[in-house]
Amino acid sequence: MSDVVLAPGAAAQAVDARAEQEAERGATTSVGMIVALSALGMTFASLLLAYAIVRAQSPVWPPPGEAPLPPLWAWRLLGTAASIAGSAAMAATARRARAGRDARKPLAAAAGSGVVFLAAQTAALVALGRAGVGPGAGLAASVVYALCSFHALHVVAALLALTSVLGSVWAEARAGRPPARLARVDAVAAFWHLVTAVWLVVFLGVFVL
Amino acid sequence: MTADPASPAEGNGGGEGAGPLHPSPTGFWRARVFSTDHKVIGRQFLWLGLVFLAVAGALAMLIRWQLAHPGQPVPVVGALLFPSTGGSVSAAAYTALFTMHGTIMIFFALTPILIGGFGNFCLPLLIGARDMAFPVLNMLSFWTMFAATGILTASFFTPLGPPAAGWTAYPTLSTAIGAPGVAQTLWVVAIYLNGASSVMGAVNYITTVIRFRAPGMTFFRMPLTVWGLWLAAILNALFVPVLAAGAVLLFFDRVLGTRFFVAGSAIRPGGDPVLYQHLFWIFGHPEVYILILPAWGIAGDLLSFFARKPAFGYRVTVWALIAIVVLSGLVYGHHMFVTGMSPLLGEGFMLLTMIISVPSVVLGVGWLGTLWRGAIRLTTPMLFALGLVVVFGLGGFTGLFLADVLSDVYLHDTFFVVGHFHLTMSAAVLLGAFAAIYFWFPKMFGRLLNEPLGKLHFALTLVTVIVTFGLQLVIGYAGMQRRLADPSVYAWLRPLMPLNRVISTAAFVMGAAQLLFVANFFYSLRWGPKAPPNPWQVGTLEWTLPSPPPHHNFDVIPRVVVGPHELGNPAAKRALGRDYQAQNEALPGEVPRE
Repeated sequence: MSDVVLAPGAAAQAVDARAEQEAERGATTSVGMIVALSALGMTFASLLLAYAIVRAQSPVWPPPGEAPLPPLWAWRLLGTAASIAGSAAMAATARRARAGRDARKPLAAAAGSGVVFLAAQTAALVALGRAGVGPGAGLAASVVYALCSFHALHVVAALLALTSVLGSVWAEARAGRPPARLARVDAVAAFWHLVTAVWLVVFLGVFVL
Repeated sequence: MTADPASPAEGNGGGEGAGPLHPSPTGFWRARVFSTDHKVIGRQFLWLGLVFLAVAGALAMLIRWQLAHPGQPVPVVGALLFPSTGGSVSAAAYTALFTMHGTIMIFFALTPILIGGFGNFCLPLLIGARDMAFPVLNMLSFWTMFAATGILTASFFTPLGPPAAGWTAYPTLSTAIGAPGVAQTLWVVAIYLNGASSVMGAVNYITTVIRFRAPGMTFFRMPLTVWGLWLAAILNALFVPVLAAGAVLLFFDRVLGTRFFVAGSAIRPGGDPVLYQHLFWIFGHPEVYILILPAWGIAGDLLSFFARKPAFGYRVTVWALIAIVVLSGLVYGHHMFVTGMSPLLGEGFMLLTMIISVPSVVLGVGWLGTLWRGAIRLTTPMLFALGLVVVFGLGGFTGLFLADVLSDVYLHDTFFVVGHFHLTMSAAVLLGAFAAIYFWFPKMFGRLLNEPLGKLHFALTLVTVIVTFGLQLVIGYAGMQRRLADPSVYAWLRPLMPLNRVISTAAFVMGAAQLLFVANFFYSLRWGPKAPPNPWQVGTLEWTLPSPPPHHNFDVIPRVVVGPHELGNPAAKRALGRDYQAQNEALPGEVPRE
C-alpha cells in the first residue's frame, strides 16, 4: 500500500471516511456496552436483593446466634479508596484519549488501583478466616464472602479488559500518535465505573449500615 | 490508498458497497469450527440444539415408560442403562431423568435451536446486515454454550449419579445436603455458562438490530421474526442475570458452605430456601416468553406468507408483543402462590397474570385475521405454524386456571401444570422450531426438504402432542401429582393408570414420528433438490439472496422500501406479474418512502 500516492483531496476524504468509520464503531460499541453493563448490573442487583431479603427477614443483623463480624476497617477503607481512585483514573484515561493526549499515566494508575483493591480484599478475607469466621459461619459471613469474592472476580475481569487497551495506548504514545480505539477505552472505563458503583453499594450496605 | 476488500468495514456504516464485516475465512478451522460468520454459528447452534433435543426426547421416553409400566424393565436399553435394577427405572433414576429432561429441553435444546440457531442465522439476513455487531463475541457465545453442554453431559457420569433436584433446582433439594456429590455443582456451573452464552447473544442481537438495520428498514418494517428475537434478547439480557445470581449463591452454598438457601434451625442460624425460588422465578417466567417470543414472531410471518396477504394488525401485534414483554417481568409470583405468600401480594400477581392474557389474545386475533380469506398454501412450515397457534391456544387457556390463586392451590404440583407448560413453552415452541427449520432449511443448506414427509411428520406430531399433553391436563385435574416415580402405589391414582398408558403410547408415537424428521433432514441435506433463491415466493430480504447466501450476505446493502408482508397487492401483481414484492423492491413509478 505504501507505493500508492493519494491526491490531497483524496487523502482528506480517506481521513473523513476513517473518522466516520471510527464514529460508527464507537456508537456500536457503546450500545453493546450499555446492554452488557445492564445485564451485569442486573446480576449484582439480584445478589443485593437477595442480601436485602435475608437481612430484612432477620430481626437483628447479624442474625440471632451469630457473632458480629470483625469490621476490618483498614482493609475495607483501603479497598474503597482504591476503587474510587481506579474509577477516577479510568475517567481521566478516557478524557485524555478523547483529547488526543497521552493517557499512559492514568491508565497505569487505574491498573495499580485495581491491584491494590484486590490485595485489600484478599487481605480482608484472609483476616476474616484467621479470626475463625469462615463462609459457613452464618448468614452475615455468607453475605461477606459471596458478595466480596464475586465482586472481586469482576475487578479481575476489569483488569483483563484494561489490558486490551493497554497495548494500543502505549504503542500510540510511543509512536507520538494520539490514542486510538477510543470506543474500547470508553467501554473499559464504563465497566470500571459499574464495578466501582457496585462496590460502593456493597461497602455501604454490608459494612456501614 | 485503495479500499482493502478484506479489511473489516464497520457494519453497514461502511457504505452500500462496503467490504465484508470480517475477512472471508480460508482454512477449515476458521471457516467451519471457530467461525465468526453468523450463518455458520447459527448452523452450529442448530446442530447442538438438535443433538440435545434427541437426548432430552430419549429421556422423556424413559419417563413415560416408567409412568405407564412402573417397575417394569425398559425394553432393549433397560439392562444397559439401569443394570443395578435389572433394567427398570428406580425412584432415584426417575428423579434424575425428569431433572435432566427438563434442564436439557429448556436450556440446551429449545434455546440453542430457536434463539441461537435461527436468531443467529436469520437476524442479520432479515434486517439487511452483513453480520452481527460483534462477530467474535458471537463465536464466544457458541463455544461458551458448547462448554456448558460438555459440563452438563459430564454430570451424567458422576459417582452419585446425575443431578436430581428438578429443572428448577429448588433448595434444599439442590444444596449439598439434598444433593451431595459433584453432579449438582456441575449443573449449576453449566446453567451459569449457558446464561453467559445467552447474554452474549443478547448483547449482539440487541445491538445489531439497533445499529445494523439496512437503510429504510424502520422498526415497523422489520419482520415479526426479528421483533420476536429482539424482544426475547431484551428479556434475556435483563432476566438471565437474575438466574445467574441464584446460581452463584447456590454454587457458594454447595462449594464454600455459605448458608443462603439452607434453612436455619434452633441451634444454627441459616438462610431461606424460598429466596432461591424468588430469584429463579423472577427469571423463570420471562424465560417462558424468551422461548415463545421467537416462535410467535416466526408464526406471525409464516401465517402471512402462506395466507398470501399482509399480517393482520401488524402494528397492533408488535405492540402486543411489547406489552407482553413488559408484563412478563411482573407476574413471576404466580409460580409461588403456595409458598405462604401474603394474600394481597398473591392477588396482585393474579391480576397481573390475568392481564397478560389480553395482549396474548390480541396476538391470536391477529393470527386469525391474517388467515381470514387468505389464499392459504398448506406447506409444511405453514402447517407447523398453524399447529403452534392451536397448541399455544390450548396451553394459554389452561394457564388461566393456574393464574387464579384458588384453582392454582388445587392444581399446583399436579400433572395439570406439566400439561400446561408443555403445551405452551415446550410443544408450541417446538412446533415453532420445526416451522423455522422447514422454512429456512433451503436458505441454510441450499437444499429442499421433502414436503410429503414433512406433512406426515407434522400430522403425527400435532395429534400426539395434543393427546399426550391434553391428557396430562386431565390426570392432573383428577389429582395426580407430578414427579411421582410410581403413581400406582397410591390407591387413588390407580384408576388413572390406563390414561397414563394412553399418554405414554402417544408419547412413544411422537418420539417415533421424529425419526421421519431425522430421515428427511439428513436425506435432504445430501440428496434433496437444490433450492432456488426464493422457493416460498416471499419478500423478506434473505430470499433476495442465493441459497445459501454468500459469506458477506449482501454485495450491496439493500435499501428497504416496504414492509415484510407485501403479499397479494393488486398493484404489485400488475407491475411485477407475481403476488409478492420484495422488501427492497419499489414498484415502477412509485416513490419509495424512507
